Amino acid sequence: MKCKAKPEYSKLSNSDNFLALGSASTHLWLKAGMEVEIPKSLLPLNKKIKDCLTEIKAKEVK
Amino acid sequence: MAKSSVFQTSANSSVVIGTEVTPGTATVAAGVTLEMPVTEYSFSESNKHSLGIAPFRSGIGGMTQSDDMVKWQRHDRMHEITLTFHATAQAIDRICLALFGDGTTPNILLGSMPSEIQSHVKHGVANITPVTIWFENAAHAGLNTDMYFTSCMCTSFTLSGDVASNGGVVMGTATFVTGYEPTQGALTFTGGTHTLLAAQTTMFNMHDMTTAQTLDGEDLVLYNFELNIAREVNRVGFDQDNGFNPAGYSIGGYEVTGSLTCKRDDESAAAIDNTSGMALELDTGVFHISASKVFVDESSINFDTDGWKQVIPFRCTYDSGNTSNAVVSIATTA
Repeated sequence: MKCKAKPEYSKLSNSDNFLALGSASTHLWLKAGMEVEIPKSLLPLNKKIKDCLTEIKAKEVK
Repeated sequence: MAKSSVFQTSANSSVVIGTEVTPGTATVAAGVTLEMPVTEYSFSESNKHSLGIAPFRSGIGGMTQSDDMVKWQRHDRMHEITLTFHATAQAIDRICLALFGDGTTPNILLGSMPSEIQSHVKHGVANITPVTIWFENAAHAGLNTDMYFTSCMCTSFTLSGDVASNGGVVMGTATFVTGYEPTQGALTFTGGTHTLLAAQTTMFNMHDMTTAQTLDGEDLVLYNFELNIAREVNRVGFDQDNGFNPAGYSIGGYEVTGSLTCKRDDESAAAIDNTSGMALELDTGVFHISASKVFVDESSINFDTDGWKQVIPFRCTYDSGNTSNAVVSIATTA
């Protein structure tokens, strides 16, 4: 699952963001505006964090 | 008084790392813990301190020391704990989490680290960075009385593997420090999430390195390697009324260094002639260490009877194009 952070992600507290899930690299990449592959072990994400992310869908190959 | 019959031995003591919620408060019984697959460990004794000593007075009749001139100095004490363990996936992930906040494979140290919670650790302010390290039956009272260190900060993590030693099992060594006095008493972990040794079935082993081990894309016949990630941690302040607890910790920068020992051949020659940063890959197909900008730090030769070896000390950096680039990545699953 590839995601990008919505502006709301920065407003999450450190007890609700990816730092709390033990993935500082995911957190820092999202804050830097990058598209990030979420580590499989963190899926499924809780609603609070999911609402702050935009999923990047893979483009269909015709 | 009578001679005591109690004692402690390493064989009687399992070692657990517990996630904390608030610096200064040990992991709660219903918290998250990991039993470490330790083979050796050591820790500072309780009541650690240095002696502060006043200078001698001059003149005849007072060139001695009184009890006013010698004091226990506890405001700057740092207890140290060192754990050596089998490099299981869970153990590696947990130590990386403590050291740079990434405990979800792949554990990646970025150029932009530390994050804010790693760099602002204050007594009594919620933060999951420090850990409790618990030693079963380790108190002076012996069996059934534990000893645990609260709010420990990881300062160093070394992974080292040698194809000819330890059955090829890669060993981890983690060093922690804490400004808090250890507690001697029972701490029982019930409820919560507790990962025991039995669940740690995936282990980093040199004999599993069937995938190419490369530096600068050159295929190395690797005998051994070492990777070290280290940072400085210092205590800040002291609370004289509360056991000289620290007000928090100050954190230094991350240095990532290591070394490779491989067969000395045309591939190793091509791996040590690059003056700019180059890629390192150590891969078992499950465990995978990678770094994109590695600088050789003066290579040398081991003139061994079983063939000459190339010794390649190195330092890892991130690609300066972006601080979001990785210094080093340690993956623990395929």
